[in-house]
Amino acid sequence: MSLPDLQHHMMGFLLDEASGTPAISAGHLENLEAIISDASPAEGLQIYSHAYRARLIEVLGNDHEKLKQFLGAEEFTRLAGLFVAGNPSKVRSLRYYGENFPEFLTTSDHPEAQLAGELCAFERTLLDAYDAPFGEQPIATALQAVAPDAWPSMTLQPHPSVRVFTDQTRAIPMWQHCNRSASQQAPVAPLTSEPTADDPATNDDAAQPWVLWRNRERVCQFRHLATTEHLALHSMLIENRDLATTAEELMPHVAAEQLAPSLQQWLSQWLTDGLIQSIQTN
Amino acid sequence: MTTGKPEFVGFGLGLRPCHFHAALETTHTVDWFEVISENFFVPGGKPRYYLDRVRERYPVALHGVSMSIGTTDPLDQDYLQQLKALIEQVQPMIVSDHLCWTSSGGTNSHDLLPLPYTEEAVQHISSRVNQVQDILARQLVLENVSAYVTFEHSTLAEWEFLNAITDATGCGLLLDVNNIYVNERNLGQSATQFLDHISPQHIQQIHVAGHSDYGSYVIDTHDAPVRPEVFELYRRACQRFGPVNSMIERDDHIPEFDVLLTELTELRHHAEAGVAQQQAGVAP
Repeated sequence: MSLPDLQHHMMGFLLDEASGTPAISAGHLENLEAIISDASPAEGLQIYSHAYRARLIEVLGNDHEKLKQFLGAEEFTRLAGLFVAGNPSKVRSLRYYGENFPEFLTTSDHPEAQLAGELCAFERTLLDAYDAPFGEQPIATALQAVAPDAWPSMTLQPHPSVRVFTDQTRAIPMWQHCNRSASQQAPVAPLTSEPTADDPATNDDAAQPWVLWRNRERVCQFRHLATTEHLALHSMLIENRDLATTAEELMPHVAAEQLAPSLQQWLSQWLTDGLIQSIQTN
Repeated sequence: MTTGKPEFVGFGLGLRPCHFHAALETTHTVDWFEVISENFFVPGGKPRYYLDRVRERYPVALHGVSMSIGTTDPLDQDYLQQLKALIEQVQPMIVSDHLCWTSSGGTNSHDLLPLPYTEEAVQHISSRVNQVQDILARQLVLENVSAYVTFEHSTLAEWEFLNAITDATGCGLLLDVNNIYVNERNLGQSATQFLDHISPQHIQQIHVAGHSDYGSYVIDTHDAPVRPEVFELYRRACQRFGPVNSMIERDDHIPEFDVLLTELTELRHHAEAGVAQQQAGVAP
């Protein structure tokens, strides 16, 4: 058998086995058994097929610890196994294998599919922020270097790790809930409907914005954004608008006498958090 | 391109994330570290930060798992460019991957899949190794892998296969002693015959690792301490090849850093015993 044919059949065998429907095999196992000289070819091949499936499920579990806790180990393994069955790895690094796992979960048969999918998406966003490029993170006193007449035209470059995550299903409070009860093996209890410090929403509330970033200790951090701070952050850090334009956008939402102090407070907080890489003034 | 034997740096460990802090903060006797190349194909974050700090203090070897040198798919040029960029940043003592295939038809198995030991495979792989060495502008070092099947159309012994590729390309060999042992147990390929026939001049590095023994077969899991029989093979390798940069690989059930340091001390003792026997003219 030629090298291309051998590789075609062996990869086909691995994918057949992972799919859980080896009956549809295009003769891969039979073709391989014919060229393997060991006493029990299937035994050796199964070491590879078992490893393929187990490795991918393990990677999904390692990348999504809180999701696994939320679903419970058994349900997580079932769903991850279904994902592996239908998603042969096209990525070079296992780090990226689960990129489509959130979408898969959202359309799965799990009773809380939307929450599971969003919890998964949140954990992938954390991974993404964790691996983001390096960047400076000046402290709040950097604002003192900005001349008073330069403030209106001031723009900000966000730290490369900054991400805004819009939580539709209270996935982040659930992540925190799982984090607090990390020792549990069973599915995590539902969240209460009462807002708490960590959970500003209830089931009836609209989508909630959160900001994620990698802090100066290279640890990912996140916090909830109130509506007005979200507007300001979106304007300055996502849309790269200057302070004067941002202030105009905020005017319908913030009392006039509160606008300047609020902006100053947010700028200072963003610098303290490490959300800003640099301040530009014209 | 340099193809000679590298300077003997000493005894190293595979650097894993749980030991980033210990590798930098404790006083220890590790001479160098090996890292998994693909884990650092990211622009930033904690792993990159620690790699840079470790590199400031220690020689580092890059060890890849995804080059898929044996696949009949085209060479992955994007992968090679990422590896080249990492090489430029790290200036590693050795750049290695595995003599296997990991992907086919655009699908990645994330496993080190076995090759038939044929002239066809020698020709195919040698051509690709030459291309990779041209692109990277340095020697590539390839590791012998563990296997769980043998192909009846193989016409070469594993050591003949390895020698043919290293002779044809000038690439180096990363000798994994545990894999030789695993293949002896699973496939009946004599470990001592392998060590007696492999070309010494190509050996750049040695891996030693633990495995899982299931009685009728063993699996190269890297999740347990090195077994005495593998240490004995390692001593024999040192008796034949002299001092070679050697390290312990541990990828799962990773113990505290101090535990690995103790195991590394044992590795040193076996190396010293083997080298002393070589210098005394004791035949392996």
